[in-house]
Amino acid sequence: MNDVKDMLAAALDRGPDPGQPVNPAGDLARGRRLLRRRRLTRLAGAAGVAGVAAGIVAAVLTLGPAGQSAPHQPPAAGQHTRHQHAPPAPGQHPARRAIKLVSYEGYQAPGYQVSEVPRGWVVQGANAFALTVAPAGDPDKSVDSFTGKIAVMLKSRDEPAPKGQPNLQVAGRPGFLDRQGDTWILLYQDKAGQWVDIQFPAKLGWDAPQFAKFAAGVQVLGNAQPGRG
Amino acid sequence: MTPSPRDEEFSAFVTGRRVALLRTACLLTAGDQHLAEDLVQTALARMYVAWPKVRRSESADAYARRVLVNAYIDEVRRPRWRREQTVSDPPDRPDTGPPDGWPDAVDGEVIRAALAELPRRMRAAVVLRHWLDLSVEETASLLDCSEGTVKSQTAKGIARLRSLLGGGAEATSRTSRTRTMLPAEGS
Repeated sequence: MNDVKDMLAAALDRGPDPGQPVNPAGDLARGRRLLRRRRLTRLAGAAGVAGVAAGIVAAVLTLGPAGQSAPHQPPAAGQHTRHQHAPPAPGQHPARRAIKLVSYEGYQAPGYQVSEVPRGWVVQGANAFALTVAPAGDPDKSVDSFTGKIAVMLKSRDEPAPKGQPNLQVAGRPGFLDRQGDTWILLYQDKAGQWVDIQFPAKLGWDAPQFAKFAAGVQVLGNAQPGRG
Repeated sequence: MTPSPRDEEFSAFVTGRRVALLRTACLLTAGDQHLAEDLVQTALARMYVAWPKVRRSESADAYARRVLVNAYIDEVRRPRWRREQTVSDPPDRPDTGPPDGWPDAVDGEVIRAALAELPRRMRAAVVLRHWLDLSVEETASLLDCSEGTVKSQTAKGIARLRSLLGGGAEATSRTSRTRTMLPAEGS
């Protein structure tokens, strides 16, 4: 027994009691409110019906041959396991049409450099926390809205550095590619040593090397800031 | 309304882990239960929003600790909310009696007052290392500082607590003869 721990335990003599019952309803309501606010901010301007339709199409296009969407397994407290979705291998992606990656020489947003984009896509803009790449002419011009776009950001300060075996290499550096619904999330360490988080819409139909190739052409410069949550 | 998988998983996590988070927050805030509750509410709301990332993480507990510590550091950075105020003289303290095994010899109120005397990062280093039993490496990652800083802040924090609680060097040597030794710096 560590006697500093005893001393700290004595500082908790007025509670909270370790055995006290917990009702999660209040935290759930606060979490939902915060999520709603975040979504309203990020999705401001996004076309609701069109977005839902695009999502459904993307889900159908990208669903595995046997419909192998990983079901959610409720994690036990303290026993969470990284969900590792195997990245699609070249030639094995179920999507019928992959949007080709082409070199990009158009507008660059301050704080970021992008060397390749999906054909017909452009750099939309950036703020201190994220860069968005979207189809040219996308009516949703907000850089706070990520729906149907590629979003590049630094890893959230609240998210620990990933552990375990990388399932992807980005220019020789470790990367973790994971699927969350209609979004592929690539977390990798760039040459400056910072963890970069790129979110891709599944509708791109890309395989793992294409995700890595796009990421290898991205530079996050000094004035980008990590977000929260 | 049918609960979503996110709702179910989050509720299970809150039910199982909320009190432990609140106890840690109480130590980080030196016993300010209102601020501790605020921090836990903020941390859990952020976790709900980030639940897909929590699922991806290796440990929801580790994720929660990180969010809580970040919420704590954010909170105490705000001058208008700062609970600790600089005063010219230290507050009077009750006599803690003979310094024989200081954790047992003083009551919770005195310990909370002593914790409040520590700079916030020093207090956090002590709490993370000795209450949560985190390694130097994990603590450094949470506090976004070097491992050397964690070692020195923890050692200074414990020495300061000893001094404030009336133990001092004499009590340290007495305590070490009869109880488990405090971990050496860097252990």
